[in-house]
Amino acid sequence: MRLARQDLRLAVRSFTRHRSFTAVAVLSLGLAIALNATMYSVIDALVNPQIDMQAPERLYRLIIWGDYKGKVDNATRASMLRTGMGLYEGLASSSGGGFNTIGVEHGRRYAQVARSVVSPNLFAVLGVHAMAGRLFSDADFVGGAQPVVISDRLAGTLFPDDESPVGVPISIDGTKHVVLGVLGRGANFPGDHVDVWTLPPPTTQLSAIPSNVVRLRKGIAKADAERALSVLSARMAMLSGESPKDVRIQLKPSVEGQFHYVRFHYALIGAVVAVLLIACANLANLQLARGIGRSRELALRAALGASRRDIVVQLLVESAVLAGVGLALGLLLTFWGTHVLESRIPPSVAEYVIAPQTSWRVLVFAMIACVVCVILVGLLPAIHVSRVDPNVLLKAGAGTGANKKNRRQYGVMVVAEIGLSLALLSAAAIVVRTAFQVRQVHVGYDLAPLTDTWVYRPALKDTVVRHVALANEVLSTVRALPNVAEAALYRFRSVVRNAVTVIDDAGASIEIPAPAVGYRIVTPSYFKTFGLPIVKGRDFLDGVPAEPEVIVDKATARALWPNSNPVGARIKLGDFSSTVPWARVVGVVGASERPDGVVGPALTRTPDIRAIYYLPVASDSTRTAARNFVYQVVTRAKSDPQRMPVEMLASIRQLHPDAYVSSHSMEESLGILRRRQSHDFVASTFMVFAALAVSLAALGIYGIVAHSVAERTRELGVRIALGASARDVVGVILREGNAVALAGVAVGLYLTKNTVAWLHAFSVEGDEYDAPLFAAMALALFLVAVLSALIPALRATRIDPVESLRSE
Amino acid sequence: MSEQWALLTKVFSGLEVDTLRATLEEEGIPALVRGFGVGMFGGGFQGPINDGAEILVPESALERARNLIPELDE
Repeated sequence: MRLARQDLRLAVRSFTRHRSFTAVAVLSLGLAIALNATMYSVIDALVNPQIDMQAPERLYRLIIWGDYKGKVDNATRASMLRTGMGLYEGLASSSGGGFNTIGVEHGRRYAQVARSVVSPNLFAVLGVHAMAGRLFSDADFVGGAQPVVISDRLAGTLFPDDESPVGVPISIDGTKHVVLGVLGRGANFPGDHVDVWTLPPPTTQLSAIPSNVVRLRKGIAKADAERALSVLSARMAMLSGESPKDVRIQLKPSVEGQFHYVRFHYALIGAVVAVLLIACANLANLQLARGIGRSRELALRAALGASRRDIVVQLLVESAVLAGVGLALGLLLTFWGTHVLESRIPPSVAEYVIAPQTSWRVLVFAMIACVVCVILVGLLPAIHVSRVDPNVLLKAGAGTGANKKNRRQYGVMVVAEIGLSLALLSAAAIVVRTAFQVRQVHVGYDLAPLTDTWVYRPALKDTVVRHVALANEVLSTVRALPNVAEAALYRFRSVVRNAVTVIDDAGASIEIPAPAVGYRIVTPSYFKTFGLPIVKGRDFLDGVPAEPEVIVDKATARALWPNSNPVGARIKLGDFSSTVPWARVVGVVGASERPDGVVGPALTRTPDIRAIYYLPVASDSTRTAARNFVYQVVTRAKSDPQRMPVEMLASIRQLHPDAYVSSHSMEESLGILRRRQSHDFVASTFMVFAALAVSLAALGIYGIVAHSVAERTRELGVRIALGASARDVVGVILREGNAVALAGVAVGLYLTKNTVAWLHAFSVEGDEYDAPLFAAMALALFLVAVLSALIPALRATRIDPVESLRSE
Repeated sequence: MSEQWALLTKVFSGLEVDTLRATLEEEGIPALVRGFGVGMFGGGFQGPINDGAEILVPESALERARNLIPELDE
């Protein structure tokens, strides 16, 4: 114990004497540990999502599969489900989420979020607690005040100044509702996408709502419960007139572990581990160099009776002190890093990266990283230094310089540092290049004034909707808005039986397979609203045409009519035998409003057939089905386009009060905003990794060369005394450094080749192998290495031979 | 219930995927979505899918599902 205290005192004294070394070591370690712990906290949040529900393993969603709707009424179903109360200790209901979008406002803040309508006992069944305020009770349902519960995410958006939302009225689709409480991320149900929970209208008979959330009693397994519920499903099948095998009750775990590692996660993990290894290699090198530099001190200790073990322990204690201080700094930086990261993660990367969560696991991870550092930084160099014979060490000072073997050992670690740094630099270059490409993309028209509104209108099954009548009704309402300069209505349809039919130059009908082609049914104002130019023929004219008209984009025109003028040609948006009407092509538009590679997830597509626009005749109609009639409206704002989605929500809801409406800027709707945000985020993350790695590597090279120069002072002094010029001295030193740097570059290129595919999801169309770019990065890193070595090399040219020879 | 899945329809936006799946499930019909590679757009992306996404349902429920989706009158 006394010896350990002595070693500790020695270590502290040694570090106090070498303040620059200590500062560099602690900072490198702290940064590397913080980077690793922060990234671990993200992966941990994905693998072990925070769940604030009581005994979540007993919570299930109850789903009934089969044709029973309309045959067994809700009240009967609800009552049948209640007969299973021996199996479960709680039954509740929750509906909506996902597409059930509502507009929420507070003051000047606005958000469009998903809502879930829940039974008053849902939160009690889930066993969750409010972060602020309280959750629903039966009294809230009968009270008629229609309070709401909101997520902490929405609270942050509507109340950014830490003002408590509890008790404050907010506007939901124009109606005031008081916020009753706030739910945290870990209590979000039925999924992370919901931000508002409301109760059913007070007129609802709660006992007639079939439950779909159950909490099983303790000790009852899912399989046993499903077996018992099969009696209920058989009864339901009997009441429905179906075969028992066609109606089934399934229990799906409410909280499922859905995380799967993908290649991008390996890229993230690889990047931070690389930074940690670089930091360790760097420090090990410095320790090694310092240990050898302290050879006379260590040799003296050995000569005075210190055993090899004592020397190893002393050097290990020094490393442990360094690592301990580095860990403390690392944890501090982790705390800061998780906050910074949390505020910068865009929703578009939620599949890969989510808000980090701090837990005991993060602390354990940081400590493991620290122990790894102690072993790499302390143990190996300590064993190496302790192996040296004290006599040799004491004599070494009398020679002309450090031996080559020692320098080769530093070199191996510098090669590793440069190799790992180049792999990281190349990865960063790939994602930064992609981010720039995404930013440079132009869709060919001005997106800023455009708003896209999606309308899902409940309609009775088999209702016939006339396209022209619907367009007139909607557009007259929308165009009456003072801020609307132009508007158009459109819908997407698939071509019938995956083919289009055209008439060729010889007058014969040709069927062309088009498995992935959808066309748009539009109104005449469509291209005017988007600002897309017609390059051949004419635009659709106002009014209703006598026969259906079609406009295609240039690529489609080339693909379908390669040798003739498409204007005037005839096309059927279905296979040869389909009864869809022939339409006449009246024009060619310069580009699609959704150009390739710019918007939307890129999947396999039918080559060259890109965009077809169809102007219907008065008799064209769609037969609707229950709750699934969809149309979209695009509007061009005169001014203040940011406000347009709110105005469109209100306007469409006024027209169709029962519709689900979602309205966004065109940039957001096309996915361009999400794409840009995700690329910017990934690029900035990898830039941080690469900057750290390159800085550490540069520092390592500088440190090693500087140390080598210090060791070889006598040798260099002799060379200068014998007539070596400054250029010769720089050459001698750089030659050694250059060989190491080149070897590092070779290792780096090999690592890059084998790891860059991990970034496939964040490159454009799989072009992550970019040899010229990698070569440029290799050259850049090589130059950094040369510059790092040049500083001590230039210093070496100023060695005074007399002083250097006298110093020993 | 048959485990053979059949193509019901193709839709062209994430929002339509969500709506149709919810509608089908509410009617007791399980649905699979094929071809909607969310990739960098994230799980909640509701914008356009250039090449469409296919909705599949069990073959035994295909006819019933067809009655729930719109069709263009020919």
